[in-house]
Amino acid sequence: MKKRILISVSAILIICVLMLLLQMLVMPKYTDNKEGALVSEYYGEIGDHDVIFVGDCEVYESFVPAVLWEKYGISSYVRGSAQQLVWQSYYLLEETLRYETPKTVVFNVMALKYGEPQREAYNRMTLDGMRWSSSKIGAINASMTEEESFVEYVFPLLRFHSRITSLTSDDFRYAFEAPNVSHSGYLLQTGIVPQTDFSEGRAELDYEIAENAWKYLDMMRELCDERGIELILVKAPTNSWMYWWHDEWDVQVQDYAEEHNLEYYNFIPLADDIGIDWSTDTYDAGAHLNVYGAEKLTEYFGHILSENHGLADRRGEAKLAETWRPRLESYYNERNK
Amino acid sequence: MKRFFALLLCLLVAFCVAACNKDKGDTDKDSDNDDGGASSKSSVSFYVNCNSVKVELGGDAKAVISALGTPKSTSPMGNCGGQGTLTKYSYASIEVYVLTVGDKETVDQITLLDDSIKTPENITIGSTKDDVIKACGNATKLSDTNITYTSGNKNLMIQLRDGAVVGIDYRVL
Repeated sequence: MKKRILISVSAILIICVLMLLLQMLVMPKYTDNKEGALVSEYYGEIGDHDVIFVGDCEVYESFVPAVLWEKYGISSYVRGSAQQLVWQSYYLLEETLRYETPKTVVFNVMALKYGEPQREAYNRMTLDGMRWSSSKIGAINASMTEEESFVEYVFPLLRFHSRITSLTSDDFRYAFEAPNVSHSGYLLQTGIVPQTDFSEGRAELDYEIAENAWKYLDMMRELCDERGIELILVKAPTNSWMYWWHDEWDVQVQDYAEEHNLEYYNFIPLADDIGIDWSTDTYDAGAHLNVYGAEKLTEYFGHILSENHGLADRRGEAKLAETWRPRLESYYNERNK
Repeated sequence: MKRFFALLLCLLVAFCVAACNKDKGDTDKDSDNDDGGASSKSSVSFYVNCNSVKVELGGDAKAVISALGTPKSTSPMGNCGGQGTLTKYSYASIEVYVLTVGDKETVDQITLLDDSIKTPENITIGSTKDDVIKACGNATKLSDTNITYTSGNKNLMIQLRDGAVVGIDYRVL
């Protein structure tokens, strides 16, 4: 009898391990599309950040933690992801606060234009990289489109098993671990494609920011309040026709910031002051900044954080400085390639 | 025991196969309304004719762009996260936005730039708000500055100023 039970349990365990290995093989590795690999990299750098950035691609391609540290001694991390929706920002922040308590959280407001779930592809890029927690469960439930199901997030093998017929060498090489693609959450782009089209963005169906978006911004603000963290709202300086920040949205965000005594920095009209040159500082015709533009913006914002928000220069702390030394090396190795 | 083990294995395989029955594809918020024409939810059609070329919202873009000829300018922009590229093709009287995902190119937006192009309902830039409502019927959304007709994920968005049409966009949202 005992032998039978042992054999049964062993058999079940073997099957589970095999399924787990298969799952690790078929899960997308995002080696060609690095933006899917960002969220999980945070777990390799947990702790002692004074600033946490949350938000979409405008965040992880605009703010450079290495520069904030090097120029201002401000330790930071960018918990951004592609088309990160505001409820995802909330849950990522909630999760981050399990591990550390920064002094400041910076949220890029572009995502407020979305009030409901958008695309599974973007959901996956944000959610699959999260460790399992109540925050991940909340994020999944808030994010799922009609076609998605929760069980496919619990067992991604159910979703990605069809990739078994199109595996690449990267799927085998990186089945267990993939190399980092970001620098403290910043995704470095050195390409230059000038912006030549400065036409305005396209009309929207409705310019009212949705109740659901406000709800999660409120939750983020309240969470920060509870923990004694300052929440700062920003809008990156990029304003291409494809990712146009409408005045109607800006007014609503300004009103919200004023009502709740928050600072809101819209960097679009400050692009000249920042020194952004749209012929050299973007890698995709103005949709996002490249590293040259991001460094300029980060230096500009770092000054604000330092002078106006009391963030201390910690370069004199030997242990923290030693933590940042290899990060700076790695950053400049890639930047200067 | 062997039978139990075999049964368990079969159940697991069946579990995985069950997921295959669902058509996953790319889970954009696309509706099943692909006919480009009027649906029971609105009385408008989602295409225009430009120089005898039918430009249909959500339709295949390759043939359309080829038929329209050399544009005045093109402006491509990548979607975040590698989810395709949106390219704006600008012509004299029309802008056509083409979404490219993999091999598929679809018309994602049509913007009319002047009154030389009419909608199938005979509305142009310069038409009055009353003309629009008379020709197109009850709107999905109506205000002094915007009239919108929606069918699934296809939208006809008409901008108004002082009671007259100043902008006409067809857009997939």
